[in-house]
Amino acid sequence: MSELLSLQQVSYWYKQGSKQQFILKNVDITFERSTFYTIVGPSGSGKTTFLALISALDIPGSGKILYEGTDLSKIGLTRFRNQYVSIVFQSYNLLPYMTAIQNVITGMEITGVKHQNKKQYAFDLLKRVGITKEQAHQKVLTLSGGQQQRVSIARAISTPANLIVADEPTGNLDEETAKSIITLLQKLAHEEGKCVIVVTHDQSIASNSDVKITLTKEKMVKERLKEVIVK
Amino acid sequence: MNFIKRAYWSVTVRKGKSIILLVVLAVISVFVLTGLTIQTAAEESSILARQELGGDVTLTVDRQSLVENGVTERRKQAMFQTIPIDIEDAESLIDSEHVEGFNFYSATSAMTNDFTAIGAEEREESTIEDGQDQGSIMPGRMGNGSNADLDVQGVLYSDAATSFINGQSEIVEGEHLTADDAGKKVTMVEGNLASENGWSIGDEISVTSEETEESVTLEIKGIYSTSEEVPPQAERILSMNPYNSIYVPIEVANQLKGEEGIIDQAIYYINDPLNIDAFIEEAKSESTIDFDTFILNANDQLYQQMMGPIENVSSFSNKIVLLVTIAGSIILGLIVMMTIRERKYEMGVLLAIGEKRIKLVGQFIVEILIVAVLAMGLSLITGNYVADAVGNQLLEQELTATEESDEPQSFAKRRGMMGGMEAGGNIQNQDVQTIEEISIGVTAANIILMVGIGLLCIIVSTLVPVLSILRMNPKTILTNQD
Repeated sequence: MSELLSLQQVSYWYKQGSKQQFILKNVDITFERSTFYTIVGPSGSGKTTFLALISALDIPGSGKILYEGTDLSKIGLTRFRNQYVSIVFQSYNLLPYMTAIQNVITGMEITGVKHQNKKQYAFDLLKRVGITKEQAHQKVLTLSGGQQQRVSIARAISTPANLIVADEPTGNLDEETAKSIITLLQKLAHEEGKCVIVVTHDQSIASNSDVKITLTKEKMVKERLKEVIVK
Repeated sequence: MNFIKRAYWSVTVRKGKSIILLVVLAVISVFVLTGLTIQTAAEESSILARQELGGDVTLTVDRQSLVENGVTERRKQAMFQTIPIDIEDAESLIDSEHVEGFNFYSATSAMTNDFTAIGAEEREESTIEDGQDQGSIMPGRMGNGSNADLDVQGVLYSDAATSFINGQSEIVEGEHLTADDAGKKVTMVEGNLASENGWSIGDEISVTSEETEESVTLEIKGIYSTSEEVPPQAERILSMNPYNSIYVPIEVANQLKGEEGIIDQAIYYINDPLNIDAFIEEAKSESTIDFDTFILNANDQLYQQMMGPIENVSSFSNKIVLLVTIAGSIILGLIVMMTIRERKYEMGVLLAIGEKRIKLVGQFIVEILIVAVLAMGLSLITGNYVADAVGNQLLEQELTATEESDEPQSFAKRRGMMGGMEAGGNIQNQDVQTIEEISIGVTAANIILMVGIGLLCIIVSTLVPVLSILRMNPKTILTNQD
């Protein structure tokens, strides 16, 4: 499996007066294609900051983040977010004045997805995450939290990005739906060669991942749980 | 082009806010269009008035300057005598590009030879009744130092004389005197004088100079009628009776004066009142006229009086456009700022999923443009009516204000006495009509300008708040929102 993303000596801190309050300190880690990663750790351990850095929503205080060997700053943060990474946010971050399908189509249009029938493709993706056609035409604010989360996932997987980053994607879902979403993300990793990184508190999801990364204060432990068989 | 689609979705979903924005933009557009339309109409009226009125400049003796600054002899001359203008000097100004026409005046008086002036018989009878010595008073002669029966107006063009310009006199038979009659022994007489003496066109009359006692025979070329008032003094001074006024070519008037190559006054008709100053400057710098003795008096009073209210309206509408543009931009900016602050989260989301900043700016501008197009459409429908109503209302107010600020009524009597006594063909005494209505219509140029101003307002009022948010990174925006 080839290396997709690597962090070299990455640190991130806040300034508190004259002192530096480190969230991440000298992190070195590599992420590969076709692998389903989970990141676990207590609150305040820097999970969300870590995700923000690898999805180019923020920049590290020091160190480098390389995508296929190229520094993100060289690729350009906006271009990286547009072409190389898909993000599932903990708080869904859907566009409230749009319907579910419009949200998915917007994601596709922004990232330049070329599809003969974008609308049909968006319906298929929504169906895949358990959203009916009727729900697809509803304004997202009229959907439940779980349904909004699924729309957010559909939007993320609608783009051809090789890196999918998800922050607590099943936090608002019932057990059955959560399971189907995780299965979907695993399939994207194993069948479509994507690198999927999921932040979760759910130990069952973590134990089902290929690689589990445990984040504690200023320390990161990478634990391979499964050998990945690419289909 | 997805940002245009997003803009459309956003506008149609947020109906309430879009309507508020529509109302604000429509009001701004209507005011701007109204202001621009009134300005254009005022400018057009101004051009029309200028073309219609023109302006004139009179070359005459600067008596005031001579009395105040002249040496003793010159001062006396200025106070008690006529200082003639050399006709060559006056002619030196007629080639100016600003001169559309001109007229020369040389006035004198004369005595009748073989006919009776109007009022001569009555005066004679009253003199006899008063018991005065007939032998001391010849028919038609005065005992007060002036023996003149006739007022003789030497002109280049009789149709440009004051009385004809202001409509008090009009030709009823024959032809006016023109520059072609220069040097000819022809005249134009008043209808009452002609019928009293049984004259018709082609008849000859004889007059005698007061100065040289030389007789001149004149052929009647034209007969005119006048409605000028007969002043009370005309009973004793016959030449003051407007019926006893005859028009002759300049040379004939000079012959009766015993002079040659002189005039009393020259009037130059300028093609545009705006060129009056340029003409005077040009005359001062290029001609050989002695401007210590003579003066060029500008007369654009008629134009100024006509244009006064309309210029005030134009100036007011100019201020409206400026104020509305500034106030509109501020109001629009505040509305857009409030809207954009509410949509900070949306911007964070779009940035997080890879949207370019320029497209986000584009989305907000397109959103306002969609509403602005509707607003401008509404302003086009209503702008014409509003501009017409407001423009003419403003003009009416200005006219009322102008009337109120005019001279006191008691001055009118003086004006009435003075009117008509001026010798030259100066149009200053003409009845002045102010422009009481302007034709207001929205033009393509107005629309283009309004759209331009509107776009500028929209872009400025959108860019300022949007850029302040877009310089933040998406994580900060989303974190702050959370």
